[in-house]
Amino acid sequence: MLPEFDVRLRSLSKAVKQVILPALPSDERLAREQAGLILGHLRVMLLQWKYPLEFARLNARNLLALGDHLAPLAFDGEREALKEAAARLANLNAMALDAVSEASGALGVLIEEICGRPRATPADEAAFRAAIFAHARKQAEIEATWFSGMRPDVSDDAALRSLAGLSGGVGAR
Amino acid sequence: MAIEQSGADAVDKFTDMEERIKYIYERKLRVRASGPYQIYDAGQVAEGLKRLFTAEGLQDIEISNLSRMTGGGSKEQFRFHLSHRGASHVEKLVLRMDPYESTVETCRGREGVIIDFVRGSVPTPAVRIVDEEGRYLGRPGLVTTFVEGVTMPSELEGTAFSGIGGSYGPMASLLAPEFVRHLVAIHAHVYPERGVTHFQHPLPGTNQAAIWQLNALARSWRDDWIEPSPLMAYAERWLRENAPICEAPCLVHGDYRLGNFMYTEPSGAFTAVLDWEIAHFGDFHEDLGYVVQEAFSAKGANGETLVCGLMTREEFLAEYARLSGRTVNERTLRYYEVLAAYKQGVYVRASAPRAAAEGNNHQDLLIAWLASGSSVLFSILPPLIEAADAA
Repeated sequence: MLPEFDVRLRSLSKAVKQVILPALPSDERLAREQAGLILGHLRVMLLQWKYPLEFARLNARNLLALGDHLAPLAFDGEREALKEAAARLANLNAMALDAVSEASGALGVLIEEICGRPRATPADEAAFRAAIFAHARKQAEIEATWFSGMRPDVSDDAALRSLAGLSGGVGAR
Repeated sequence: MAIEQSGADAVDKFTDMEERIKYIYERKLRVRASGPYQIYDAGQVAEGLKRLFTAEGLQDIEISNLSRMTGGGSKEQFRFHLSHRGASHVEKLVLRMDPYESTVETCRGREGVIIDFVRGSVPTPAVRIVDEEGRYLGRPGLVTTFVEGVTMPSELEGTAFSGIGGSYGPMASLLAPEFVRHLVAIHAHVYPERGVTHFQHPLPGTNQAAIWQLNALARSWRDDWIEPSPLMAYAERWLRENAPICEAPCLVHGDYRLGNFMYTEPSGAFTAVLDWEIAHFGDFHEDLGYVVQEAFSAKGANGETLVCGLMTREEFLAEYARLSGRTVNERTLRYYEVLAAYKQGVYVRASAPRAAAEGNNHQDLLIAWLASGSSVLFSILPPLIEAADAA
């Protein structure tokens, strides 16, 4: 539909950069700082706007993988709860964004609760920690890619599409 | 798990914290529903200041040269001039005022008390007046004297936020000794027998110093929670299970870093240590662990990592030990490095995005930006925990 999101985002950016910022007095430092932040956010959003569902699915898959690793280390009640929470994401590729966010949020909350309880043996605890840390490393990659528009050396959404398993792309300008 | 202590009774592990901290956290939750926060304009600020100084007994009050200051997302800050009947001179002052929510919930009353407590032994602004419940200003506020100086090299002004990841360049060699000297001076303060209003003292010889800080952070995480983080949940458990004993608590600044001190150019002499809002009585290792964080480090000319953009980690710790006469316990230091990273996690993964989501800050854009860059936490926390276990 006209105008497209990326057109509106670029237009916002241009208006701030070429009209609003130059009109702000140099001693209006907070206002100028806010304008700079607007430009930063717009740059990031320009690369993100097409992919919230893909990245919500990436987050969900990362949590599901963590749940799979924790299940053998879980106590009886925890194991059942993990199974039920994961089942809500069984049809992940067909779920809408809100449903993905809600179900993965519930799984995440459950895993947080499990993290609060020590495991039965040192070996289990070590494996538990390794799984948490592996999830964290993957999450760092997902989120750093999602917000890669914050980096001045990133000029398009190639990294986002690559991580999400998609082709084509848009530029940040 | 009961706190480890030499002879005292166990206390509740999750709610044990200073009473004033508990009070302001509960106050924040009540205020949350009042949002979204409307940023104060100059007229409103001036009227609030007049009410405040009228309550102090001043007459014919004039507030002039009022201007908003830049800074982080924790407080609205303004500079202004105060004159009134009988005044011998115009006072140049600074107002720090709370939005509804920010990256960290703190108390203007505590901040005023602790600035007075250290004044004379550590360079600080002077406290002029406090409105700790916002009765006159509309929001809790603290007025201090204006201090001359800069927080970053003049040529870098406007290019960085609040000193995160910056460098002092050639000034580092002048600032580094000042930085350590004043930190040592802060830690030389101990809780007096007469007490300190709004502050309590953790039990010496126990791990209460660490547990109080952890409980306050964990409480903020739960109150401001936005989305789940298994790593943060695991880190909280690790911090509880490994909380070190503190034999002799002392004053801790809590936010001593790049950007939180002012100095004159070109001498590098400190004119003020700023942002006392997280100060508390605890373990000196907490400030050391905070200073050496990667988030506040910068690369030197030869590619070496400079903590707070000033000196290497080894140089900092050696100079601190030399000047203070204290022995830095490596294992305790590593614990507080984990706590410092956990603290950043609470701020940028919970409190900041929650404040932005509620529209309850005067810089929603800035704190949302901070949250956008928070994924680095996932890379930092695991190695810190592993290093602490190996220490």
